Amino acid sequence: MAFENLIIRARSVTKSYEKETVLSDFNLDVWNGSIVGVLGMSGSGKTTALRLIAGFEKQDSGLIEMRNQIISSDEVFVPPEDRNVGMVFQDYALFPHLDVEKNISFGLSKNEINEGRLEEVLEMCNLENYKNKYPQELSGGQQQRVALARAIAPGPEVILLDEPFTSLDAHMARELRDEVVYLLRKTETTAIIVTHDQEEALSVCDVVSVLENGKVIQSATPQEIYLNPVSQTVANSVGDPNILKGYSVNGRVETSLGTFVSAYDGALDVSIRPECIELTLDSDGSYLVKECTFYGHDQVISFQNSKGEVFRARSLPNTIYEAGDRINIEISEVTTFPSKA
Amino acid sequence: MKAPKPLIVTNTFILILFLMPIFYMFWRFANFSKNLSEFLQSWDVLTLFLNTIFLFIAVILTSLFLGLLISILIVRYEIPASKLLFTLTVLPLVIPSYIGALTYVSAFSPRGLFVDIFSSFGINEISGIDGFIGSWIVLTLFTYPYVQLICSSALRNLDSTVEDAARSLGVKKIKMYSSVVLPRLKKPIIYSSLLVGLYVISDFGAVSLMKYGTLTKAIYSYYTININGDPVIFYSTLLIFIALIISFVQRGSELSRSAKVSGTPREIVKAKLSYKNKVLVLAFFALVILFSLVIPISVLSYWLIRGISQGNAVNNVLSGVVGSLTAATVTSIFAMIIATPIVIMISQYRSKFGDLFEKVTLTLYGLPHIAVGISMLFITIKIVPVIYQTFTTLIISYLIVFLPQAVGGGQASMEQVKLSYIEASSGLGFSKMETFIKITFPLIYKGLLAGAALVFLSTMKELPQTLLLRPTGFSTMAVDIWSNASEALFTQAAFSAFILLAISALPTYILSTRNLTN
Repeated sequence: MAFENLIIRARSVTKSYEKETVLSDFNLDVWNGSIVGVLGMSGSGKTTALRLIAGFEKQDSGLIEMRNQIISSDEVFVPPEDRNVGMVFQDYALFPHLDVEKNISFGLSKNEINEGRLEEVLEMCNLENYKNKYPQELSGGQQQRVALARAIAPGPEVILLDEPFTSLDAHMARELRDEVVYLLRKTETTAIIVTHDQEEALSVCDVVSVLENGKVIQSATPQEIYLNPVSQTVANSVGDPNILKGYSVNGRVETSLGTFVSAYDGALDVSIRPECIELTLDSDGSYLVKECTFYGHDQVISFQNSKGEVFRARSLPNTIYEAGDRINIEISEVTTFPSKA
Repeated sequence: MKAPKPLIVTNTFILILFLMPIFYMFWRFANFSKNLSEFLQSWDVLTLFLNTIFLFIAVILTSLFLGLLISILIVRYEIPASKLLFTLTVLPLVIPSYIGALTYVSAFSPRGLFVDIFSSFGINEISGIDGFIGSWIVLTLFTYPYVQLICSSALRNLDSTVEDAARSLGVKKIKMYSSVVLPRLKKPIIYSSLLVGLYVISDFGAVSLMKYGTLTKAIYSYYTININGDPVIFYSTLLIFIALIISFVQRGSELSRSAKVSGTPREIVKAKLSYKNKVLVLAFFALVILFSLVIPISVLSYWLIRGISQGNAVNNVLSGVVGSLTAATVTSIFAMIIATPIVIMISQYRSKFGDLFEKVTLTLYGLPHIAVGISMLFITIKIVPVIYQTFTTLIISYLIVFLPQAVGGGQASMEQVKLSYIEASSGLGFSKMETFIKITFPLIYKGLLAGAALVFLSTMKELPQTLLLRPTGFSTMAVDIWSNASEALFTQAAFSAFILLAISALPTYILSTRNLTN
């Protein structure tokens, strides 16, 4: 990878609340200048991981380092104010009693303000026109920008973004996402984005770490994660694959959608991403279209085989499929995992 | 929807009647017999005024300090037995100021109980706690729970991620509190300080036992010399005026009922304390509880036991107990009846008129009892001598100052009666009266009962009005406690005080915590 210098290193971090274990053996590497996505379902421990890195809470065991200095371990605990970590909270957590200008300059020293840092950040985040407004007078998107500006202003080593776009409507979220990424790239700011949105993680981040049950189960580039998921969970969390059960003998596994090659023998899950199934209309086809959902840029077709099992395929929008049409399929790519059971 | 005429007429009549004492006092003041400037020179107006204001400021500051510190410690830090500590620190609220003052006067007077107990250690006399210091201590100890209740519930509703945000921007803990916590608590802080302030300027029991010359004490002293004297009129008007200003400002900072937090508030993560700090914090709580609860209760118990062993019998206090209970029962029943049409008016017919009624009712709240009592005395002497020094006058006077409590109780429950319920009912063919009986009343009677219960408790503990207006031969526990304590008959006073606390402590605690933390 092109990035140098490890900014954040978390090793074997565990954290429980009362009896519930939120993080168990959590590991994370964040390289200078990269944007790392932590992807997981709600309750997978994403936010807790961020709070531990920011220093709002202390892990039960394990180690967190920043630029090779321990910031949290059994013996050491650097309080949040001394960590130089910026945080953008899910609900923004803007100071309601301060206007935009005061919110952003909150973490700045007198010197920095005199040197024009505030104006610089206001301009960078397109907030000059709002500097005297109070948070409650701003729209969600504007509040988000203020939150980011406030976190960026003191020039932190790393910015932590907790589900930064979930409170916004889809259109606004996409627009702001591009803006935020542009800003992070331009300022070469290292960032960790916690999200449950696969599209967000895949499109924005250099590295995606998939979190399940408090553990990072795969950490790789978006392409790698999407094309070569290490487990069914990862495959599920970055796509919407068809999962078929099978048993492999001599490197071949038979499933309801055909026979495939497998690297190992035994009980297997075969994962087929919808876009890897190509459809052709054929009145003698062996599959039956059940339903078609049209999205514009593509469409998702549910179809069933003679046994009544239902699968999904994704195709370009130019062919019209209707319920009751018969089709044939061709599968271009499959991934196999050892069966969980 | 327009309010029905009879409702408007009834309410207007009630409120005009109830505002009479204020109008009358101002009218008397306007017809001041002497030249005002001459009066201002000849009487010690400035001293009394400053005495009152100093006490006002001092008690607010110390109550805020204690109340806020306790709130922050309990809400934001991991402290062992925090629920118990919270309850114990709120509990002093149930002790009326005159009982608190009685315990401190009797224990810490120059040759008081404290000297008695420690005489074997060579302590024969102490300088004693009274005057400004005594009033300050006692009023602080029994009013800081108001700040604590209001501010801790506001703090609980504050989004703690804002505090995390401040710290991640490089701010130390102490500065974090001063820069992002206290400013967001501005409203509850102002609201609760002024609540405490109203309590202080209206207080008569504590300052009179502590012999500290404030407006209330002056009014009473001048009254005993000459009911109709200029000083009584002047100081009563001044007191009403100050109270009106305070309650006006306080209403400006009325807490919005839903301190809305954006996003999903995370469970607050309480900060851990180091072992040393934990010991310090627990020592602080122990000290507060010692002074506000343990000392008063022990001193009272001591006098009670000593009194009983000397042969004090229930008979001596019985008439006071009966008097209190009678007055409280009658007042609370009437309060509930009178509050009902006002509650309906305010919450059901939201209009300029309804708003006006709400404001007027709230104005009654916080009126200094002693001034209302004086005004009622004047009115009964000059205008309706038939009811001068009768039970009726006493009850009316109670109703004037306690009506807001009854209305407040009803109003809270009335808010759940949506106008659409009424419309649905009339759409189903029920008349207004039937709708009231079937829908409205069942929904609000619990609130009205809670309000009436509060009125009951307040009446039972009321002191200055009772002193001024009670019919000859009629007594209450509050009067017995105060007059015995004034004459240093502490064993007698303790007996009544104990009974009063036994009856009122638990319900006062429940109702006050419920009302102030909503």
